[in-house]
Amino acid sequence: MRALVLDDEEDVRRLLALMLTRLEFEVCEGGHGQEGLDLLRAPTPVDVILLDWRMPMMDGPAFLKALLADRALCDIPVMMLTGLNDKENVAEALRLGAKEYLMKPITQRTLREKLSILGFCR
Amino acid sequence: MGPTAWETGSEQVTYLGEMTRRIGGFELEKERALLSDPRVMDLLFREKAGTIEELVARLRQTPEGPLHYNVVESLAVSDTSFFRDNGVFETVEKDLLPCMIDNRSHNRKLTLWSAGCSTGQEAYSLAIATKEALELETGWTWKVIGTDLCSKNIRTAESGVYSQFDINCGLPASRLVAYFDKRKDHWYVDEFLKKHVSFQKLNLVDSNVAFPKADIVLLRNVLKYFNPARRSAVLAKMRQSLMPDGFLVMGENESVGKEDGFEPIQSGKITVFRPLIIENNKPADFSI
Repeated sequence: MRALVLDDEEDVRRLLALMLTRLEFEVCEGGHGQEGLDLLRAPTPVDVILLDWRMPMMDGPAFLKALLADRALCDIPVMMLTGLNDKENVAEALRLGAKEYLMKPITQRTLREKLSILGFCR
Repeated sequence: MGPTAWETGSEQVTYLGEMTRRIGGFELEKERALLSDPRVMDLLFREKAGTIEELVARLRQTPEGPLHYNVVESLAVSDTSFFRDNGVFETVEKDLLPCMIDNRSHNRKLTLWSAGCSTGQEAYSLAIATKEALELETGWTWKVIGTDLCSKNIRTAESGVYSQFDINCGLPASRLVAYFDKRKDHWYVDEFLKKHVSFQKLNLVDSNVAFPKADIVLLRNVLKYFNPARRSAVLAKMRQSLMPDGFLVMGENESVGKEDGFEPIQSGKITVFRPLIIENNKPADFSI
């Protein structure tokens, strides 16, 4: 399984990469949405995307919009992973097309449980 | 020894183990490290005991009563999360609930029991599943009962208030939006859902306690802490409590057999159990 992590904070990306590796994922990462779209056009397919909300260049919602508009990429499940933790944020992310929502701070367990909802790590 | 390590076989562990077995019916996990278990540290703090030795000494000097019961409750394992084990809830939602809804179409009554419900996540998960399973139905009376040995767990469950960590564990985002509201830093269970869920303190091994009648019982990761005699006694009562066409759902790697009066049925990715014989000694005419 291969996961794409998009977060502008390098420490968060590093932590997530470590947690995902423990869950037997291969990980690729980018600091903003545009970088994510570029990575997704590489030949190695991605099974799940972990997406921060607020990022420079292209933020999470803009990335989601671009992803869903691309027939080749629109079926990849996206989990928003953000410090925005109000109900309205969760509802908005779902409305935009995210499949799951994980609120920071993240632990190994919460990450595993949320990925499990998406059909991974069972 | 201070409360920095749990020495397997120490006099204190032996004493506490005997106490949890006698009062709560469960075996103590001897390998548990005290300092890594916040409930035990919380217990020492609440009882104003500086060390485990001090607490055990006080227990020895006091006639069996509230102090002993509090300690037993604190040592019970209560790990839980919403929709814990996808395979189990998939089966409950896709197989067991539709089947029971069909079977109860004559009286439109349904009762589910989360036995050993800890802080209530499993009971509320069952309530969400039941509400959604009955979405297109009308005139149903349904309830979920959650029971647990620990009063503190019951109070948390009754409050229906959960932390962000609790919410992050297993609860799908769509259901978070549908059934919870956020106030300050906590998430509150929807009032409609709460009206269908009740909680009560119940010690499964207390022979004086009656079990509620239920159509579906989730008894997961509870019996593994009981010795064989206690396990058999609980299962015998559970069999009486379960409706003849009802289902018993156990934890991963847990099982009951014919000797306990249950028959295994493969359902989806898991095995569930139903009472072996129903009225007139005929096997249940039922398949899923």
